[in-house]
Amino acid sequence: MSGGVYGGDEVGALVFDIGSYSFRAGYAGEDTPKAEFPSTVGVCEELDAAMDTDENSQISKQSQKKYYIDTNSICVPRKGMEMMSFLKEGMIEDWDIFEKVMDHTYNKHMMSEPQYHPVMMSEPSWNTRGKREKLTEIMFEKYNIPAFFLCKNAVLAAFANGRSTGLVLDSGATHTTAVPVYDGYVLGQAIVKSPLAGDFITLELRKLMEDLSIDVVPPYMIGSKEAVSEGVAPKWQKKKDLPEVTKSFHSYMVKDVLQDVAASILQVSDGPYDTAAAESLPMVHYEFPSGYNIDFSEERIKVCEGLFDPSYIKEAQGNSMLGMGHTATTSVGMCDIDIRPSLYNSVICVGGNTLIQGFVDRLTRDLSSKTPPSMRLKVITPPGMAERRFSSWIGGSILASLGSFQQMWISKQEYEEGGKSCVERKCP
Amino acid sequence: MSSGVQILEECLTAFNDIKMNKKYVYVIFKIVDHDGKANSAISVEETAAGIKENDQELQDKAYEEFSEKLRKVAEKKECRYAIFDYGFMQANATWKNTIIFFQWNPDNAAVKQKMLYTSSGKDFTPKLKGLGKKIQANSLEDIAESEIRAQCLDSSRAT
Repeated sequence: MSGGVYGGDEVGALVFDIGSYSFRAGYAGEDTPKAEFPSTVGVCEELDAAMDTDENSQISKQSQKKYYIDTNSICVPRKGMEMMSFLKEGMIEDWDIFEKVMDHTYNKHMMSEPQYHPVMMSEPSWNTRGKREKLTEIMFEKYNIPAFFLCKNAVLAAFANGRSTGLVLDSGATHTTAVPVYDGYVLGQAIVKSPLAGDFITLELRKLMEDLSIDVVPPYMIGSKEAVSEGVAPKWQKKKDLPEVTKSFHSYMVKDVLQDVAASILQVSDGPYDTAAAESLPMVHYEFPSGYNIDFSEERIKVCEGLFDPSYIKEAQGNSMLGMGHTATTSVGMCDIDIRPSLYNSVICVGGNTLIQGFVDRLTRDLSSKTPPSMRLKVITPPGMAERRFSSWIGGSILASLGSFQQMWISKQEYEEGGKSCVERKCP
Repeated sequence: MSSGVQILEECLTAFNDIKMNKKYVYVIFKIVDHDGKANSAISVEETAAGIKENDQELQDKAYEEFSEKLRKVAEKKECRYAIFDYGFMQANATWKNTIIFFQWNPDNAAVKQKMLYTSSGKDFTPKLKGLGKKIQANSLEDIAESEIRAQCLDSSRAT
């Protein structure tokens, strides 16, 4: 037990929450993470001495690869820089990049040495044993941290909402998942994943832009522009001396613009898509980086409809995907019949994608038509925007800062005695 | 995952007193500072003297008082645990008493309180041997007497 080592409530523990869109890091006990930066990093294959001037970049001479991390350095157009993520289905896939990201976090955001801070980390509920052990090993061996704890993000989100039993519906960037939590444990066999999430929305938006023949020009290409009136072709000058960027970089930048479009104009319709209702929707004005500006009306709800009704997606493959309501009901249906009422009674909505206006209302409506009449449905959403995006981080932050929690950590000593497999025992 | 919060002996004593000789009708528990550590132990906050079995009127009064206390807790944006020795008339017209555990995490409570009580509750309930029912209560509707009675009747029919 490491209980004696740390006395009070403050132990300076760090909390890391890795999402498919962004990486959140901060000190335990604080309300929101200190740092949030994209989980996507830029990788240059060859080492180029002329590029060393950028102070935010991490240089790895051994692998002849150069990594660019954090918003400021990935948005710079560079020749041959590929954009990639170290995650696959929410789990850490590329450990080299993961270590680079950790180095960056410690050096640039926490400004501290890893050996002084216990680390609480969130993991996806379907994380594999091999990956958990590897993570534990890296944290203790490479970063030499004093104590470690790994927590399922669905459990953290449920606890932060005051529930030990409930269905956590997490709609993030790459996927939407429904995770049943019972008495603080994840029911792993009933997790349901759907690819309909934030990235799907940006993809739909891209198609819409093509249909409307709007050329989405990301800001990095624009040298100068002039104000134009609504609906008129934009007048902008391309920036000079642009390096030859990769396709992945360009589409990342376009995606960035589209994400802003999504956050600004989109809305989920109250019920199944209906043309009359869509046309009466108030217009929203949006100006693209190129200066092109236009009003959007029925497109605002058309784009999101696929989230709830996959048959609305034009491509044939849409049929095999699960809409939001279905994801939840399928997951509950796979659980024991005795606990279904308590799951329906606490459907907890988290993740950045649920912030689209009207998302929760539509979900409640869809679910209430599917909930058996004998069961009571309650959809819970954390009140603020930060709480919804960072629910797991906030849960971890509070837990790690509790005075009594100090005896729960895997201490360095325990790791040295028991090896990496102790993570299975201490953090079920 | 649990929080490592300690459970003071008095909590188990109070529970056993209800179970064995109906000393109390309800007990409310609170997480307090213990041994110089903030929020580190579950203790007994309040008790109410026990009542005679199958006295509906007295029990109704006790329940009203009980839910009023939980309502006040919610006003303070805090959480609690509570047990209530609940008696009801079964479908077959026999009286039955069952001890109900309430995890009272009002939706408007501070996130820190919710996190603290939810994560600690996992260690607490297994220690209460002979608990009839566990209720995760987050709003006043969840603790309404009609709701509790319906749930009790439901499970007594099933068994």
